[in-house]
Amino acid sequence: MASDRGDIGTEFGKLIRRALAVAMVIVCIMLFALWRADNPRIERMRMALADWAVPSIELTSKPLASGADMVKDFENFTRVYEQNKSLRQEIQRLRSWREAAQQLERENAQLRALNNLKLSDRVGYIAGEVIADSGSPFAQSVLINIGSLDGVRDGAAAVDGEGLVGRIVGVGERAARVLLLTDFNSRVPVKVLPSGRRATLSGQSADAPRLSFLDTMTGVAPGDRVTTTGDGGVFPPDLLVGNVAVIGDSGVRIQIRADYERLEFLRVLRYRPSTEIDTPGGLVIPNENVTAAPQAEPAE
Amino acid sequence: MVARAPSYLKWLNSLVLIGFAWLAILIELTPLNEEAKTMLAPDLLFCVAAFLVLRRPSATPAFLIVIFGLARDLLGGGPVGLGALALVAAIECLRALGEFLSRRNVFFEFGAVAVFSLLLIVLQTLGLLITFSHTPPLDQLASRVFGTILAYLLIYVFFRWVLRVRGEFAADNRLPRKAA
Repeated sequence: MASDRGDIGTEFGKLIRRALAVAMVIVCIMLFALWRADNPRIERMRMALADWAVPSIELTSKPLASGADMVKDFENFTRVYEQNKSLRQEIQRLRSWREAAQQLERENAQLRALNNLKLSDRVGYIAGEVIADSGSPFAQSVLINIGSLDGVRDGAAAVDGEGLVGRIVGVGERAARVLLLTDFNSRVPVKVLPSGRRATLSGQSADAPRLSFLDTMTGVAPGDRVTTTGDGGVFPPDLLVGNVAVIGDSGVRIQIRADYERLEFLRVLRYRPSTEIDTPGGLVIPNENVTAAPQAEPAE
Repeated sequence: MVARAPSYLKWLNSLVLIGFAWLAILIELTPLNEEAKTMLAPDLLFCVAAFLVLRRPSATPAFLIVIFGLARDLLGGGPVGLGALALVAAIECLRALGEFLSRRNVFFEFGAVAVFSLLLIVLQTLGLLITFSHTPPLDQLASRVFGTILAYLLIYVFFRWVLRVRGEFAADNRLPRKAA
């Protein structure tokens, strides 16, 4: 009798499990459809889960990262003599650059004073630590431990000490997701200097993203600097992205300046583009002071 | 033939799955050296689930696999739902082969895991192709499969020889005699 009851219980349990599994599969299909349609709910779900998981991610990542650093440090230790030699050479080279930079800074200040140039407000930033990366070939993104409570906004640019890393695509309260420039979904308007050619930097899930919509290759050469244009008002202009690495049949490839191998800390820029209205098309909200159009004075 | 275990033991085993699956996700997400990541980006969640479903199928329910697959998809930033669907498909195939594999040499198990880790990647890539999404380069996918197969060897050694997890199947002739 008891055995029969146990059998019924087991069968019922199996039935419940199957029903749950089928329901979960249906949920997965629906979520995939939403993801494909770029529904913002998916990003909100991501960030809600990330907010919840931040403490355990930090708890796990710290000892693992320390272990990886120890291995790296040991590798460095074995090459300490070579590194010392190359660092001395680097110091010599940087000293000459410092002299040149100081001279240029003085010259720049004098020219600005002569032109009575008014500079825009400095771009502020918030620094955060990288606590997780995508861990799969299907996405190129990282999680950082700062979120909306720290003032991070969706779409903001993330940079390291070298250059642009990516942009914020999801903001939770205590975490934010940065889409790297190498991700398939990353598109950034850029310009190639010194020619000034404009293009779109498209991620290819590889180390070197491609320049799309480049009208002509004239004046573009390997080694040219690539910076943001500021078009669209999402990124500040003139942020360093990288250098032209290869010009071939498959297009122009860029060597990203940011050090993706050592993404430990990122700065999220607080940038607000100018909201000056210089054309009638830019007027969105009616000004209360100008409620009615001025009456045309009758001709005398 | 599946030996019946007390229900509290099943729940305990499920807790083991929950703990190790969550740990696997966290380790996968840990930002390591980029070179190490590109060389070996193993699917640790699949490895843990595959080992446990072959040894403790009753404590490895499909809905838990889907939940962890979804959590990994959400935290990792990849296509949400697709990874979970592919994972549960591969794990259910392994579950169906569990009793057969328990009577065979351990190399059959490694072979099956290798085949299904490949299937996992193929399913995800097909899903992306069908929906006209971008697919990752072939070399990254290949390194993922290769890394997963290598990681399974480590997971096998860890669970089998360190934690001494044994199988539920009576015909499992690969158990150590003093297994817990």
